[in-house]
Amino acid sequence: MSSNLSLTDNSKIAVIGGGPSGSLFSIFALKMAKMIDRDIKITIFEPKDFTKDGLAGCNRCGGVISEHLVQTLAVEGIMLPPEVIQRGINSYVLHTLKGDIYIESPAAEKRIATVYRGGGPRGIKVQDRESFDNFLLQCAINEGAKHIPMRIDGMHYKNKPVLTSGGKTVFEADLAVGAFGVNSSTWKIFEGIDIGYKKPETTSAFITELELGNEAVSKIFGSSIHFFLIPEPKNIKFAGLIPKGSYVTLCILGNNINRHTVASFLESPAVKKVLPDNYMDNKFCRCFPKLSLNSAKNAFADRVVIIGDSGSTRLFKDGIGASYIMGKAAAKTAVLHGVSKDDFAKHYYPYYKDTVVDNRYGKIIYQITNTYKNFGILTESMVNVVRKEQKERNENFPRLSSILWDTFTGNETYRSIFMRGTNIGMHANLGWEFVKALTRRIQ
Amino acid sequence: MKERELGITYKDGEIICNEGEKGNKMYVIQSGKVNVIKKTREGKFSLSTLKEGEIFGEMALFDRLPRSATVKAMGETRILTIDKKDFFSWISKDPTLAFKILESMSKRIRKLDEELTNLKKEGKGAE
Repeated sequence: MSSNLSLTDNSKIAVIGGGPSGSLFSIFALKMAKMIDRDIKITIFEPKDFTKDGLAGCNRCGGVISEHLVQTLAVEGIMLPPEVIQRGINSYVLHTLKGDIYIESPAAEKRIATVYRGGGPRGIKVQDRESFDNFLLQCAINEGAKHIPMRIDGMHYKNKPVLTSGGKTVFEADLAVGAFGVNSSTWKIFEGIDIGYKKPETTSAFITELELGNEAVSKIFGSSIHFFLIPEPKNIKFAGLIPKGSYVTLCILGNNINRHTVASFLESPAVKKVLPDNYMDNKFCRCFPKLSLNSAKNAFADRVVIIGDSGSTRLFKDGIGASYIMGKAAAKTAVLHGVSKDDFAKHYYPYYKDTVVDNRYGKIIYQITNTYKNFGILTESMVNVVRKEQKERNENFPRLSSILWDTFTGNETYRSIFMRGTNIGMHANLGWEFVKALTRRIQ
Repeated sequence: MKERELGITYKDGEIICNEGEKGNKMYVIQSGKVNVIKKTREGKFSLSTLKEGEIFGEMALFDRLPRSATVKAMGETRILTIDKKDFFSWISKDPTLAFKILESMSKRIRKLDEELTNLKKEGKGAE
């Protein structure tokens, strides 16, 4: 059922931002328009050159493509080429103060990809690599989108959204798609057009690239991402070391991460045990990117929709997976239903709200994880249950291991993880290990 | 480049799935080629060759019947598997995810139509 504001032949869509959200929106909108024999025109405005190394080409994230996204993209016909994949991942190593746990993928298959969002760390010498964001942008261009390397700095309404750059009108759109992240200042444009849009609240993370050499990365990390659940520094929720070619991306998530937090984390014995000496060097990239803590208010109106991190994304995990879901939901709405506020409320908002609700479960899961991280006796119980599960691996992937796997990989919704966490058998195992740990302490 | 690969790597001639077995996953070819082989009383026949990006094994997921053919790697081939349960769970949330599968099945039916027509023409010629 189409609304009175629908896209017709030669309708023009402006996508502001050429990251994964913008590119995926464009790919799916163009594919669906072709299916229903509609000729729409999509222009992506993205000033950043994703092929550049360092911050200039980077969209600042850990760069992990979840199992779910790798598979769905493959089913959609979007195959990640080896140049984009920096390492295929099939396992996680969880480091705690009570020991380390190795958790292998339930499928024992490399289904997670680590990627560079931009051209790689500043000064990278390896040639055969491609930026993930650039790959997706090229897919959108191949599908028929036009890319203009221009910064849009203003927008106003004149029946339709009118985009400006440097004070000049550059585009009148039938639909303006805001596909920007929380680290961009593009939100100001959308807050200024009187639709009631309010950007999400944010916190800061820390990301840096450590060059260890391909051999050392293979030897230390293999096909595993290493996660750290350690009680100090307290403001860290968790941290990860993500192997990529000759480099390892250190990603620290939590509340208001600063230089002191990072220094204190790197001094932790659990971290020192993994990383070789003399790995830090000032020549490498480091940044304190913002992360969304909640979703934006009023992310759509007539002829306007906001996708990406500045709309609604998953809490701390699988932001690119959320880009896929939101980009596709917005594309389906615009092409198959219409571009009015009512259309987005009816067909886009349910996906948006799902993420909002799911993140509430995510907050609870991170609170529980934090409790397990901060109390040694709980950490010990968890480590022992997972070790036992991994040892007695059978056809049904063990419960706590699969919960941890899905929490860290972002492979499942937080709601699904939460529901599986209510399993009585798993709690009985945890309780038994807790009693044993308590007994050891008393003795 | 090995560390950059996704999925499972099969060697030349290695069987990916067997005719007659129960199918609980489908496959996407990441790189390389596969040969689809059908067993008959007269022997084994190669039905088709599939290449990078193509999907196979989806029929057993939808009709819940045993695998209709054996699939072998032709040279080193990388395959990404999709579990049945996950796939149907995704489709229930986003039915458009099945578009690509429908497209692939439509192409195969068209190809079969052509081959059947050619066989019928050959049969008439022989009469």
